[in-house]
Amino acid sequence: MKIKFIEKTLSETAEFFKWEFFAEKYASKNGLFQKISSDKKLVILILIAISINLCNSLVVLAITYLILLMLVLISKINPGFFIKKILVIIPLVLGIILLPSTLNIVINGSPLLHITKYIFFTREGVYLASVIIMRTLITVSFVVLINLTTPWNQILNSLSVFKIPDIVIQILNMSYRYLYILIKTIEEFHYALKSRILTKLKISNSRKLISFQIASLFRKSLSLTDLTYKAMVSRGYTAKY
Amino acid sequence: MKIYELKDISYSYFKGKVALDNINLEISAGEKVAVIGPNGCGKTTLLSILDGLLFPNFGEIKAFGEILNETKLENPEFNINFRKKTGYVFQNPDVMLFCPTVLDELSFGPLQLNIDNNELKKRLEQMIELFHLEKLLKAAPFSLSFGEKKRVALASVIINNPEVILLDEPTTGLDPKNKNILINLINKLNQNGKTIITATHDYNVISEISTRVEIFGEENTIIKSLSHANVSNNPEILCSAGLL
Repeated sequence: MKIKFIEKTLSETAEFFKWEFFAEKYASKNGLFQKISSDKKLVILILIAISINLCNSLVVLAITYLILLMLVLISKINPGFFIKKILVIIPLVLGIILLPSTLNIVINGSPLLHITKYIFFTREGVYLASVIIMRTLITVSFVVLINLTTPWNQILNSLSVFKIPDIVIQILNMSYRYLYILIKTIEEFHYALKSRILTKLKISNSRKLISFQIASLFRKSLSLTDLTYKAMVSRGYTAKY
Repeated sequence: MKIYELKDISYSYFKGKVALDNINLEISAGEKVAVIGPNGCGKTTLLSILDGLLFPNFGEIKAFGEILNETKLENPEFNINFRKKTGYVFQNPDVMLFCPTVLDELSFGPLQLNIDNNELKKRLEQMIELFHLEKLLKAAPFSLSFGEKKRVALASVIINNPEVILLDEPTTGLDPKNKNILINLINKLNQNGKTIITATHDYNVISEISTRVEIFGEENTIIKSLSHANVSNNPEILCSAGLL
C-alpha cells in the first residue's frame, strides 16, 4: 500500500512534467494569447484576479468565463482539454468544501431546498458559494491559459516587470530545471530499490532505506551544484547574466 | 608554442584522497592529446586543473606561458583572457545545460566574455550550422536526448572560440552515429588549429581523436607517454591503463 502510494506520487510528479511538455506545444502555436508578451500577460492576470475577486454578480462572472473560453479557442487550445482539466475539478472540490456554507445552520437566509424540516439550503448560501466557485474557476482558468500559451522560462523572466532582481529570476530558472533532474533521480532510486526488494520490509528497515535515499539525493544534489557552478565559471561566469 | 607546462603537480581532495601525484606534462599548440587510465586515476581532476577550476596542492602550472593560480584568476582581465582561450566540455552534459533554452545556452558564454552582439550573432549562426541545432533552439535543454545534450554542450563551449578544448569522456553514452559525428567534429576543430585534450575510457576512439596518449596508472600518476599508434594495438598497455 505504501509502495503504491510512493509510485503514485512519483508518477503524478512525472505527469506534471509531461503536462509541461504539452504546454510547450501549445505555447509554440500561432494563437492570440501566444502573441502577447509574457510581462503583459502577467499584468493582465493580476488585474483580472483583482477585479474578478471584487465582483459579486454571478451574471458578470458567467459572461467573463464565456469570454475566457472564446480566448481559449482563439488561442488554438483544445477547449475539451481545457474544460476537462479545470471545469470538472474545481466546482467539484470547491463544492464539497463550500457545501456547509450553503445550509441555513451556517448562513441564515430564505429556503431554497429542504433537507429536513429544520435544515435547508439557503438562496443566499448557494449564491455566495456559486460566486466563490466562479471567481476561482475564472482565476485558475486564466492562470492555466497563460501557462499553456507561455513557455515557463518566459513567465519567470517576466517577473522582472515587478523589479525582481535578475539573479533571483536566474536562480528560479535553474531551480526549475534541476528540480526535473532530481525528480528523475528519485524515480530511478525508487525503481532500483523496488527491483531488489523481494520481501516485505520491517518499518524500521524501510525508514533506514528512505534515510539513505535522502542522504544520497542530498549528496548528489551537492555534487550537481558544485559541477554546475564549475561549468558556469569555465564559460566565464562572473555573476552577471 | 607551449600551451601547458605542468611541473610536479600533485592534488589531494579534502579527505586526503590523492587524485594526482607528481604529474609532469607539456602540451603544445595544435596537439591532439588523449589521457587514458582506470577509474579514479585523476583524469577529470587533471582536466579541472588545466581549466583553472581546481588548483594543485604542490607543483606549478603554466598556461599560455603564464603561471596559472587562484590569485591570477581573481584578476578580471586575466580571468576573461584565460576563459576565452580554454573550453571544458564536462562528462555529464546536464551540469553544463543550466539555461532555459538551447539559444540561451549558446549565448551564455559569449555574453559572459563581453563578446559584442554582432559577433555573437555571427557565431550563433556558425554553431547552429555546424551542430545542426536549427530545430532545437527554442527547446528546453532537459527535454533533449542524451546525444543532443552532448552536441549542445559542445557547441556552447566552441562558440567561445577557445584555443584549447578539454573533453571529459566525450563519447560515453553516445550511439555509433552520434559518436562518429562527434569524432569528425573534434578532428575538424583540430584541423582548424585547436588544441584538443581528451580524457577517455573508449580505446576504440583513441586513434581517431589523438596523436599522443598520456597513460595514467592506478597510482594517480602518468606512467607512459606514447603515440596513439603504439597504444591502440597494444593489449599490455591497454591493460595497464585499465581499458582492457
